[in-house]
Amino acid sequence: MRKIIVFTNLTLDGVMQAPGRPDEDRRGDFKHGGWAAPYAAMNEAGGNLADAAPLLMGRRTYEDFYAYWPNQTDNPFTEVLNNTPKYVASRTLKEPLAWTHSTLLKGDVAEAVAALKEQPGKDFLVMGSGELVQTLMKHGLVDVYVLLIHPLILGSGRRLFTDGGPSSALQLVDTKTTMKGVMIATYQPKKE
Amino acid sequence: MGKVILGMTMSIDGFINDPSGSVEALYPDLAALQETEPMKESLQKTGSVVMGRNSFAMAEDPDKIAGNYEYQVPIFVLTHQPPKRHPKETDRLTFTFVTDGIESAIAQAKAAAGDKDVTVIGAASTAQQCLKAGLADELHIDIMPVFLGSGLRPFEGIREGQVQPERMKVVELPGGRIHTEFCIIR
Repeated sequence: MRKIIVFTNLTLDGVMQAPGRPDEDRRGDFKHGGWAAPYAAMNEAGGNLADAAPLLMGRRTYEDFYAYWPNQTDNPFTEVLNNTPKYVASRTLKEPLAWTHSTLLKGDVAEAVAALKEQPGKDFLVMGSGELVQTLMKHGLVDVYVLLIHPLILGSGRRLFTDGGPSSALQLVDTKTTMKGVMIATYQPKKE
Repeated sequence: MGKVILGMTMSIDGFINDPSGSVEALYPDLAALQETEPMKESLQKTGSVVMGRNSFAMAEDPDKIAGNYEYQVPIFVLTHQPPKRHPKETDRLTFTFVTDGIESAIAQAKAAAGDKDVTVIGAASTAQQCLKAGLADELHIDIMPVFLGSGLRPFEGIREGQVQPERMKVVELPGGRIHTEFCIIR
């Protein structure tokens, strides 16, 4: 069965909003966009992981990535993202999706994702996509969490783990710390 | 002069207790934890403890804290209302109920600790007061491999820039507990 890997930048107080750029996500008058950029922890966390894994994305992350990545000329990641299959959860978008190799998840998202996991192929990566992650968590569809925990307390911003999420035990499978002090913790749900 | 160390154990989703106020899910490893290096170090370096009323109330019998609690040092309990009956003390472990705020509690604890450190046991409100008042020198956060879903968040209401942690140490302990130590830059 294909795994779903949630790969996320977080602060010590659990904020996930707009790690990459100031204009990435200003919802809630968020002023700290780009907080993860100086740490550049993504590269150390496993470029291999991001290499060509198909992506599961929420609509917002999809639109943000699409507005940004295809327009970068000098970044090898652009081609990777253009060519990798992208599965998008949205209540508003209609097919065909504009970005190459993008597919809309139809019907109930959890059911659609559960069906995708059954198909043969590579593991899925979820980046950003806070709302989608919460849906996946609620349905027990996440197999691995790779959390890049930055030594920052922002005090505001959207969190990955919102109040009222599921409670469950996990297993720590790996930790490492980058030169700049980002903890990379890998967790798996504990098997019942 | 010792340091003021704010210690807490948090779930992956960022809670330091569950909705019922219980911390049980965060300490399945209590016995093993006592044997770990960071804990031994903390026990050795701590000269006094500051805790909130809630942490104090977690003891089933306050008279049993003396002689049984890990830290057998002077304890300063931050509270609005001291208990009617003073709990049992020993030569090493005394109780002071501080009703005039966190600054006062830390100042008294520092005096009692001498050259040793003051360890602040972080219930959310005590932790927040300590951070907001700029009283902590170090932040020790343990992250346990569990989702609690809801509960208290220790950093609620902290403004950006108010606390700038710089990593000093990250250790993986048995049971998937990640022990981290940050110094706080002022």
